[in-house]
Amino acid sequence: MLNIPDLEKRWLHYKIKSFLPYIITLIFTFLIITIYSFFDTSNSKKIIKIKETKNTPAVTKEKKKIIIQKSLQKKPLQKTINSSEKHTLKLSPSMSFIKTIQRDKAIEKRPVKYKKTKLKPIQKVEIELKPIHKKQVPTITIMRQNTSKDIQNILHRFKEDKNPALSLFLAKNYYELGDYKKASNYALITNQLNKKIEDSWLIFAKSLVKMGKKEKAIQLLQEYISKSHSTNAAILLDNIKSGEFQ
Amino acid sequence: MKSIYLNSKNVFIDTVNSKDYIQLDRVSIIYQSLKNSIQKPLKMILLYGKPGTGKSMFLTKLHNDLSPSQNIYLYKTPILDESEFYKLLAQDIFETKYSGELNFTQFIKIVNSKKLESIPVVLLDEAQLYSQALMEKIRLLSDTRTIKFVITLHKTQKEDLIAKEHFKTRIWETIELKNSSKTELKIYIQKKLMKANCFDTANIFTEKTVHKIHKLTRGNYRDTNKLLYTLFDLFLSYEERNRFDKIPTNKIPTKYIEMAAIQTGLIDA
Repeated sequence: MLNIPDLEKRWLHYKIKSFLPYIITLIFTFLIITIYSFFDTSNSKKIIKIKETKNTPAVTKEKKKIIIQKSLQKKPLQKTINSSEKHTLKLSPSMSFIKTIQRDKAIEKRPVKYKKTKLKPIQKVEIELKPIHKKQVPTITIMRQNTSKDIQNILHRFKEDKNPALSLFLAKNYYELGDYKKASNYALITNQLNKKIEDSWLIFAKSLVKMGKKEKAIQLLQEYISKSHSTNAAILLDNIKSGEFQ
Repeated sequence: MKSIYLNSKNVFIDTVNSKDYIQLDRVSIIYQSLKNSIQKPLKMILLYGKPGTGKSMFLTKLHNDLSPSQNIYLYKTPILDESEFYKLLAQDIFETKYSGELNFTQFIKIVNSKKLESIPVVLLDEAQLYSQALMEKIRLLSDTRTIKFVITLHKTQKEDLIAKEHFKTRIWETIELKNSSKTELKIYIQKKLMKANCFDTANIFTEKTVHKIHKLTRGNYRDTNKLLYTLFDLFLSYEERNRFDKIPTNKIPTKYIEMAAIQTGLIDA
């Protein structure tokens, strides 16, 4: 009679022994394939990226256009912001809104919420107002907070790039806040940077009047009117002379 | 009740018995060719092949078939002593008992003194075990055309050398026996089992099973017999342990064939 348990054990040993080379080969093959495919995919990704950047700019542009159009359809406000951004970058900042602020007290007193970060968003807000009025989008709220911080921020920026628009903005702000000395200083700085900016003359004149230097203001305005024939300056001069503006 | 596996196991006991001879097409043709060669006036016939290809069975079968009609003598085990060899031949063929040493010259004298009606046929199995000197004497005897020799050799490099050096010019007929093919092996196994009325076990040898057996034994009859003997012994062992779930009913699992191969040494585990 055969020793079955021993024979079964020997058979199991034989099977493991006979399958071992195949298992090892299989594992090695799998590892090689995995490693190869890993490197292959990383290389192909690079190639695709290069191809995308080199060969398909038109397609990407078209895609971008499509995306912009889609986003316009979904978010029309965002589109107006982007387009207006381009305009502001090219043109000099329009300060006409300040006038409107001055004239329309209701608008001045309106609680304005202001984005904290930079001046550019503020400029965005200025231009955004137009589409808001035109399209009457009720969801937009203009945030303005902490004016002194804004002034500090703009002051800092002005120190960096000496932009007359910024100094004029500061002059106007200081004038609004009642700090006429600073207002006149920044108006003068703006004037020194660019003599053609009418508002710098007007703010400077107004500040002089507020500081009690009415004569000097009148003289200044007369000089400016003789050179520029500005109607705004003439109106202000009449107002000062008549005592309407004190 | 006697187990069917016991009968099947006994079928594959490795014995050389002409009754166990299995008629296969290719083997039958070879056998007929050998029988015809004996009738021809040939000096010597060489039957060669690897161990287990059925050379001994061939000689036994030939002896059994021809003994009623012809003077035929079979020597399954080699007679290594030269004198003993001559004495045995003198006694068997020429009915001459010789006491003491008998050398080649004395034996030739006996051969020439006895005139026989037909040329006796001497079948020598395992001829590779005979000494070179004795083989040379056998050649000389066959040259006298008084005795016809049919010798079997294992086909190895050494035996090839013997064949070349001693019998190259003298052997008129050489017959090679080869291992069986898969088909032949299946017929061999099934015929062997059916001959012993083991029909149930004969049916469990499917193509796949025989293919596996052939792979392990390379169609060698002796190895096949050993393997199948152990295989049925394995089934008997399971039966004795009452593990009937392990005993196959319609086909033999490869596992058992491999286990039997491990036991017989065909697989080195």
